[in-house]
Amino acid sequence: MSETDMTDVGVEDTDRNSSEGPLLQADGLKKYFDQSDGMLDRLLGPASKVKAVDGVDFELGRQETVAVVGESGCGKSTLGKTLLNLHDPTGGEVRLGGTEIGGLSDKEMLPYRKEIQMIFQDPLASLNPRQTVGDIIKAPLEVHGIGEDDADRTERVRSLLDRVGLSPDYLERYPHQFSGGQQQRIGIARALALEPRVLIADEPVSALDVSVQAQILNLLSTFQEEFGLSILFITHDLSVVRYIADRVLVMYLGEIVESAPVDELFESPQHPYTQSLLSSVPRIDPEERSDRITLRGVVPSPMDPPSGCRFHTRCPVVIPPEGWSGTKEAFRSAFRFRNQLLSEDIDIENIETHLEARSGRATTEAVAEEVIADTYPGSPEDLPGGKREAIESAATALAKGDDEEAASIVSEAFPSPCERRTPTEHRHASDHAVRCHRLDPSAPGQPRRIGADDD
Amino acid sequence: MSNDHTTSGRSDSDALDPDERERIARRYRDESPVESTENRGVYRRIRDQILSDKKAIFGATMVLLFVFTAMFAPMIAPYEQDETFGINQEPNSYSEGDYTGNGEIDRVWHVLGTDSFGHDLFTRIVFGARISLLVALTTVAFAFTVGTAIGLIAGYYGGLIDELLMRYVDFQWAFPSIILAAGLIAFLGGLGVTNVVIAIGVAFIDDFARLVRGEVLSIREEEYVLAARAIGTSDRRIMTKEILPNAVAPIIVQMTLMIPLAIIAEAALSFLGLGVKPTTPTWGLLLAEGRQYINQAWWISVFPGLAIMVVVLAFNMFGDSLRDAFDVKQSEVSEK
Repeated sequence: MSETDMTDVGVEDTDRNSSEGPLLQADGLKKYFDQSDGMLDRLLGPASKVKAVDGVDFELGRQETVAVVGESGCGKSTLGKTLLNLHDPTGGEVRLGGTEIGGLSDKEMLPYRKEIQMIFQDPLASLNPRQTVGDIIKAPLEVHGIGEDDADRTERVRSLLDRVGLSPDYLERYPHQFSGGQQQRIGIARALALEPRVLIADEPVSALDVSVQAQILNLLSTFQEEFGLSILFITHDLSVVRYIADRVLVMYLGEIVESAPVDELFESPQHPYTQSLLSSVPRIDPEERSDRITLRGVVPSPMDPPSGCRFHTRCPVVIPPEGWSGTKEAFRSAFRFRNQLLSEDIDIENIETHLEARSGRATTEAVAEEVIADTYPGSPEDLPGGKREAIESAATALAKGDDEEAASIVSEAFPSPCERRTPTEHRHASDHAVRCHRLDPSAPGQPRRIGADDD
Repeated sequence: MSNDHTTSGRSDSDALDPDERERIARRYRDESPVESTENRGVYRRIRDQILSDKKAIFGATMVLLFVFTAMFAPMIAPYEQDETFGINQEPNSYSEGDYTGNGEIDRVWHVLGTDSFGHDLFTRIVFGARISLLVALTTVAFAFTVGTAIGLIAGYYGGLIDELLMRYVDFQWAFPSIILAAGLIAFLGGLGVTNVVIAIGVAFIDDFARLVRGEVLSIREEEYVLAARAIGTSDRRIMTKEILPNAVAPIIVQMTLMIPLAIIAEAALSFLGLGVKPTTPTWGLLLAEGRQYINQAWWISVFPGLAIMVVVLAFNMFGDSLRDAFDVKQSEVSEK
């Protein structure tokens, strides 16, 4: 039992007494995954890295619940696992009660595991099918040497089962004999066996029925009060966020784009990504329903995130460059066309076969016209002089099969500060931070406060 | 939703709560823990599988008979293993002579005849089952222990450790096992059961190492392994308590398929004169001995050969059936 010797080293005196400052803090946290998996890959070129978490800062206060929201693939689960040192961070710091824990070895990390625990998305997958419920919940007690002997530990497991709302008689059963909600209760009992102060909940209810979701959320709230738990709640479900969180972090492609207290975020979201996320939450009250903002385009690959503001490829409110003489709408239509072209989203062959089927033959001019008619949102007629021609010549180049030429034409004709400059964090209110050029008065182009006019 | 989830097990007032309600209902429905634990299910599946398959029944019966014979050899064998009678007696014949040393002439029946030393063949084969079983079990146990350790460590840690261990395993895999075993016997020096066990055991390590490594590679990505790491479980505990129990089915199947191979290997080594001491009754030695007299006394080599064949066939049939019962893919376990 070498594990028992390791417990209680330094954790108590460094943390429990110092009640100032955040309990869990991340500073510029990064986690990249190396995609090249062999000698050959390494020889053939620079390593391609998936930037799952790319410079995340946040603080989790005592007994606070912070939700991390974002689409799947935005790196929110990786963030949770990196905080727990289940992934080695590529850069940045993680502090637990003021002590740096990022990148500690398993042995060094052991005493801190009592303080920070995790529950998982798929409750059944996170429970070993060959172990009884008793064995599963007893494992953390054994590893950390809690309890005098096996009988004492069994007694603790029974009381834990009772506290999470399961019969202590279920000790000898196997995980697959339980319903999803019960399985998640077992997972919670295991995480709480060590009486941690921080709980990282990675989509703990997304695999459950709605009615069961509410029970699990209630259970977590109860424990939060009882133990003074701080919870980092990772989810894609905004209706759950409103119910449980104090503060929300909105994550997009490995970065936090907006953070605010939950009510403020729901009432006045500032980042266009947050706005579109919120507009997709179903609401019962028709008064509360807002126009749904549907994001176009696919989520870009985190292997090669877009330049500048990472959201610019899908942003419905991109900023026109300085000296733009047309309307914003016209620019945004052109910019969307540009992005479709750059992401190679336009299927020329398909357009050609269509034309041939309709009129017998497909000339370059006809294809170019069809490309614009097919993919250009609105009409290029709205564009100021010179820019219209740029669209046409890009379409012609595309029809001729010269993709590179087409790409360079649209890139030059329609630049935006959004794709050129990385937005810095802007404090909208004292506890409301946003990363968007539109809110940064010092940003170039034609920024405008959201909600002030046409947006 | 009520807030009393921690205590609501004691109140059944929460009518809107299906999960809770079901729980309470269950508590009253089955006071004793539910029977259908997973293990029980597996046992039942194995039993049903074996009972529904004639070859499996034959295999299981012969295996049991073999084990029984080996265990109770002194009671089953009609004579002592070293007793000698008339040499090269035909099956179903009698030796006459004073074998008890009391001055009277005894008439002794040999159901399978006698060998060139005058040993009763049936007695020798019955005692030979002991050696075969002993060698097979200890060999497989040895190969399992070492091979599983290699496979676990290689699969779990990956990287350089994996490369090194698996290159060794590849090397051994490419080497004919009987030659490896013969070389090891020469290296260890001298004959004897222990050396045979080590020699064959080493030659079988690669099969277990490959099998276990393959299992570990998939199991270590399971979320419960991540969950175990999250609570601070040591690598050794993760390997033995979280990963290994989930790889047990293919390992058991592999073991049942390795036992007949070990029996054959032991017989082959003995046949080549590299096995146990020449006076020990083993099937391989009997076979080798009978070879010289195959024209005059066919039974000396035919009956031990049959014994080997029946036992090997029985283990293979049993193993195949177990594999089906455990639902292990054919490609997962290796048969040579």
